Amino acid sequence: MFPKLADVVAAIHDLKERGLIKDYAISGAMAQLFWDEAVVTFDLDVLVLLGPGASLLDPLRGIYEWAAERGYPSRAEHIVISDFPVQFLPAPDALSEEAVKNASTVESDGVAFRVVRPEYLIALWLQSGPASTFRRRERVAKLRESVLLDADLLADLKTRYNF
Amino acid sequence: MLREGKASLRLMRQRASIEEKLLDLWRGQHVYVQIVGGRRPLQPWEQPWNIRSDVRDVIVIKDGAIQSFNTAVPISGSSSQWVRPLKQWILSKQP
Repeated sequence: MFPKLADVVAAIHDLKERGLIKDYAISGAMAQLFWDEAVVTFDLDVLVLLGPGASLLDPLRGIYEWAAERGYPSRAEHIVISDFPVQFLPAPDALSEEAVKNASTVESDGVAFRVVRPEYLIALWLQSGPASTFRRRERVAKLRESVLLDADLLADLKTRYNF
Repeated sequence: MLREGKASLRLMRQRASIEEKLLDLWRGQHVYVQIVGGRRPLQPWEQPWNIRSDVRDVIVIKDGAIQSFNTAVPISGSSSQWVRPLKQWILSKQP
């Protein structure tokens, strides 16, 4: 295991212990890596359920203050933890919240990762609006083709979230 | 035949360990930067991750035997660990 990825998980657990986040799950292309073959990405998206003390107007302020205190540099919207540019994304809607709550725990070399399940990745990528870019639709096609999906869950998500 | 080969290669990539997949991703980032960087200026965030620098080379010399291996460490670094030999050092053998 790349120890630096384990550092990222340890840092996220620190956020959880401090109550800044309630839960998290790796999302985006990095989550896809856990289910399928690797695709090129330049950041590590982490969906978070923020703690009760998070500001409504500036929800990530606590996380950025924590990063500054820990000496993690910020680069644009990323916090660089052990050379991984990590983007913390507060779950913006019910689907994202559900994706975090129902994330899978994947263990690799003694490190436990919370990862958004492929059915939720598809749902998140297919949500209408600006989130549904061509690249994301391509990733959906790839996941559908190569990963054994829970068809019932996907159908249920499709009905409830209308994508 | 070619199609089967491609399918099995893909299956192999899918079943690879997280470490191997990360390595694939890292190689992909380098290829991306080479190709895309030749066509347009890259964005500041389009940089390959520096995730391979955390392999520590360890050399242990003990009782005349030299052991060399790589081990991963939680922070970047490189060091050598020396274990004092029980016997006297022999730097060169006299005929």
